[in-house]
Amino acid sequence: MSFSSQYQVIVLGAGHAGCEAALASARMGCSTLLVTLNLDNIALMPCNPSVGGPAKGHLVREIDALGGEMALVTDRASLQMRMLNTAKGPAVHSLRAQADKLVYQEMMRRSLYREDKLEVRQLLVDGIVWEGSAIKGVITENGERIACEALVLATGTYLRGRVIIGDTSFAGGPCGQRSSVQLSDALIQAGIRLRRFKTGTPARIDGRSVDFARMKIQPGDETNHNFSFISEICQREQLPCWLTYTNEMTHATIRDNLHRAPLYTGNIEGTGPRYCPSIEVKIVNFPEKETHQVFVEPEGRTTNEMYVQGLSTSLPIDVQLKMLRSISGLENARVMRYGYAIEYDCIDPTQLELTLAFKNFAGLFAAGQINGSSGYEEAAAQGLIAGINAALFVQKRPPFVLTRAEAYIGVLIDDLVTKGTNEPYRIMTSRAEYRLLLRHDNADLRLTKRGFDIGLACNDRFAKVEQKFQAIAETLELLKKTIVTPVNDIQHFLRELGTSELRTGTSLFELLKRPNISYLAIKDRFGLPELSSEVEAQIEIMIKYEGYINKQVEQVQRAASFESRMIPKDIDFNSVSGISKEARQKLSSVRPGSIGQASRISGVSPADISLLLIYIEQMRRRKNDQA
Amino acid sequence: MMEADTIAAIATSVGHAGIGIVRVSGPASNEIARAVFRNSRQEKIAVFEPRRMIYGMVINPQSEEKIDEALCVFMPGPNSYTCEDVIEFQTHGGPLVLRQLLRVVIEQGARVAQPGEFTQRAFLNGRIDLMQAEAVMGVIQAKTEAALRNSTQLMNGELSRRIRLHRQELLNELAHIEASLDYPEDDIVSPESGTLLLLLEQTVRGFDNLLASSKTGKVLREGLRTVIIGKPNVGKSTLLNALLGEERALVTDIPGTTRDSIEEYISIRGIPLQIIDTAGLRDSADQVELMGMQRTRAAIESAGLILLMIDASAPISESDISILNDLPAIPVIVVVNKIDLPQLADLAGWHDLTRKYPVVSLSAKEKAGLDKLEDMIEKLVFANEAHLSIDVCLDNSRHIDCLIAAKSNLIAAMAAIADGMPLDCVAIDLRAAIQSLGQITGETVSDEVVREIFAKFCLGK
Repeated sequence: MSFSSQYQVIVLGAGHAGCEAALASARMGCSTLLVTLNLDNIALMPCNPSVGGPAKGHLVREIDALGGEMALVTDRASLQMRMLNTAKGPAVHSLRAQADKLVYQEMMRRSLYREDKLEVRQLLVDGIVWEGSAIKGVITENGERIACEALVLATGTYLRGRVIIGDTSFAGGPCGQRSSVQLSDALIQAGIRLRRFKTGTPARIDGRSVDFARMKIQPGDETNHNFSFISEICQREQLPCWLTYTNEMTHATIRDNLHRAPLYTGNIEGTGPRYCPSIEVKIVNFPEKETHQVFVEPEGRTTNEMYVQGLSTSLPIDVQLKMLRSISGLENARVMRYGYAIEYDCIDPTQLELTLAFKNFAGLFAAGQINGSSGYEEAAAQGLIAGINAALFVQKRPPFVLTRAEAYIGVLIDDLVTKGTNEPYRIMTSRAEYRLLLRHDNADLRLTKRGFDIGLACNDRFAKVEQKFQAIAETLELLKKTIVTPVNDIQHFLRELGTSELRTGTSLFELLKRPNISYLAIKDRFGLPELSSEVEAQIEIMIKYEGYINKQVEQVQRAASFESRMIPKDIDFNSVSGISKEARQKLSSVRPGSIGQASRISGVSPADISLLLIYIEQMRRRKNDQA
Repeated sequence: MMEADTIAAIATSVGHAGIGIVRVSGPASNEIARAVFRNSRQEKIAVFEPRRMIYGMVINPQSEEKIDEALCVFMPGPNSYTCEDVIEFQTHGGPLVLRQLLRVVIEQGARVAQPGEFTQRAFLNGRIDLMQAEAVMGVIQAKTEAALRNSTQLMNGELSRRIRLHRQELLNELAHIEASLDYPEDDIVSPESGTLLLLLEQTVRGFDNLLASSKTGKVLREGLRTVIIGKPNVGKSTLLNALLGEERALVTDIPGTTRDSIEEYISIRGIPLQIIDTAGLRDSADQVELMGMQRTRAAIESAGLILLMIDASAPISESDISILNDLPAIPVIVVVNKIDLPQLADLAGWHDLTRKYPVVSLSAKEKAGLDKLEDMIEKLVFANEAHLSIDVCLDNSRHIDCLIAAKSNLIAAMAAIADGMPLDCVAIDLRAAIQSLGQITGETVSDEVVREIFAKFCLGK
């Protein structure tokens, strides 16, 4: 069998997962080929023009801390940035950017094209070349064979994609793209379990036809923000978003036309996400709600298209238009693209390991929407991990896994591969049990060293984080060491700050625990050093939330002994006596790597875990006896 | 989430032993001993010398009240049975003292051990051999099966019902908080700290009520289901009243007075019993009485122990024999009542019939011989013949254990709100409380919260 060319790693799909996977693999030294159906559609944002928000923004920061690309590209493409949840605690502060879709694509393309070890080609891959259960390469629609040692599937919603608007439907990917049909069959033939999911998007309207005077302006923050820890953009011109609301007429239009809604006529079979329901689902499921928010958002500086956030729909086009025009400010709206639903094939992610490698196939990885997730950020995070592990696999180095206690990326992947998902999966802060430790502000402190150690995060990043660590340690030391006593001028100073007087000598560290005292407020009075805003924020969070941070650290430590107790790969769960039938089935299917992971499988009880623990210890002793 | 924690249990059988041992194993055991043990000069022990027995007393650290005299010994890991840090308290063997001690140990952060859990830890830490480990697996299996058999009864118990209600309320509140944190731009009003505080206070009060009632065993709607049966007017209600020490059931000399089943909860020698007094079984045409008898039969079906009563002052009848022949395969004690009256029953003949059951003779009316009945109940329970009851006892103490842990989580949450901590911190304590109130297999609190969020709020764009 001959191949026309060969690479160490091939990545199928150049969406948000594929781009991160290809960059990570190439940066870690593997010759890499990134394959896309259309070179003009690299890093396309087929849905909303925004990046980040609670948990999603955390993912973007983590991708950046490890040496990924999404944050840097978003910073360059940003039309507006807002820090959300600022009135709430530090765990849920999160950055959200509106992005210029075209600039985003352009910036990502530049990053890809700059990478020495990376080639990008426009091809449609129809088949996989196997040697036993190991990957050998791919076959294109033209019959070309390209060899590889590892293959990352990042096909998004393109596998047997079907677009549905009203009573019409046609095969295709998002935004008029081709879809990939044969590859699904190749996966099924190999024995991979597929399922069908659905997602959707709202209409895009002409910004010139919108009456903004009838809407509420949503400007970006005045303070400058960046997603990346190494971006140096200090200011950007921002564009506003606009808020308006649906009303009774909108809802009546939808209700009157439900008999034509594919979601209710049975024309859509795939499972859609609860996390971004279409407007028809919202009206049906929450009939008591009189109005729903609608955000009108710019898609770029050089386009008239505006995205109508909140009105995702697959209703027929005449209904879409009537519904839009019932809304304040959209009375004369002209539609440039109609909303649609898309059905696609994805895999059951419990077939994957925590590295995103398939359990049963050597060298095959999967990332992004094909794994049943939704969202650009979720896709990019998985792409990064799959790309890293594909490179490590080729280089015969130990795999790279982030735990639930280390990163949202760990939560995301563990949820997917351990529990599976019955609908497109979205990350949320409430999915993370150690939320206060996994803050967006400390992603670099948590992860950059990990990225550096595997050869992904560059020297500059690492040096910057080391400096930050040092500054934090020195300042904390100084604050603990500096004791203030209840003398007159100090008491006076405290009164002025609106806080109570001292009763006894106390350290500045303790003083900063008071809710209304900031580092800035006491800095000059006690001759403390000037800090970067990032270090200052770390200091304040670490001091003010010390009690809760410690509580979470203890929780992590208590769970650690189960998380680190590994289950031997050769275990036969059928021979563990006494466990329930359901547990046996689930364990055999998921094949968890650790006791901690096993305990998170639904249907596995604490008693099952006890029996499993004893069985593993028995196995170990028998092996020892034989040896 | 699975966590390595500190476990505790009464290590001796809960009976009339001379001494009783409470064993504690895990990282917190030393700290717990410091909190609950005082030496003979009533001082805290700063450092426990390994393997040295110290005389002193165990106390309730919240009230500083003495529970009992005790010996305390610290066995640091890995040189202990479980290879973990182990503390053992030896006290007088009374069940009340042991349970009080176990309770303060739990209040200090330990949890009640599962059956076989000490041995399981010993095995996992490389201490005991395979044969012993297999025995432990047997215990865990038996426990799981028994729990399954018993689960309907337990789930319907009043205590677990109330705990579930509290849990659901907290889950609703957490879902509201989480929705507001994860969807800052959707039109959700964040929970008011005042309202939240009020709910938490109410919940803590609810917990306190449940805990208080669990002490007397009055509202503890769980326990070994003990059903008193017999033909009408053999003295079933009198026996119930005698065991309760109060007039709960109406007693007359008219046969068929008890038309419905009466349930009461008592503790005999530390064993919680749910006693059900039933309508007497006989042929009757009275509709109400017939319904009562139907319920009696249903009660027999779900019983863990049956007290079959016969009247020593009346000849043995066909009804007595047919009741005897219909008994299901569960432990039965034959109670021969009214020994204070002239004996007309052919007791020798009875003993032939009832050879497979233990017999206790007493007079419920005169309260004579009740201790023999209590002895027999205790013996059956701890000989494992009425083995279901072990799980019931255990699950009761587990419920209490949950409540205590959850209460301290809620108190922490209230303190956080009072300190002006943000909701994402308060959520940490709320989650812990919900987790404490119920372990759901494999499903985490996060899964439940996410489900609640989308059931309640219209979110997402």
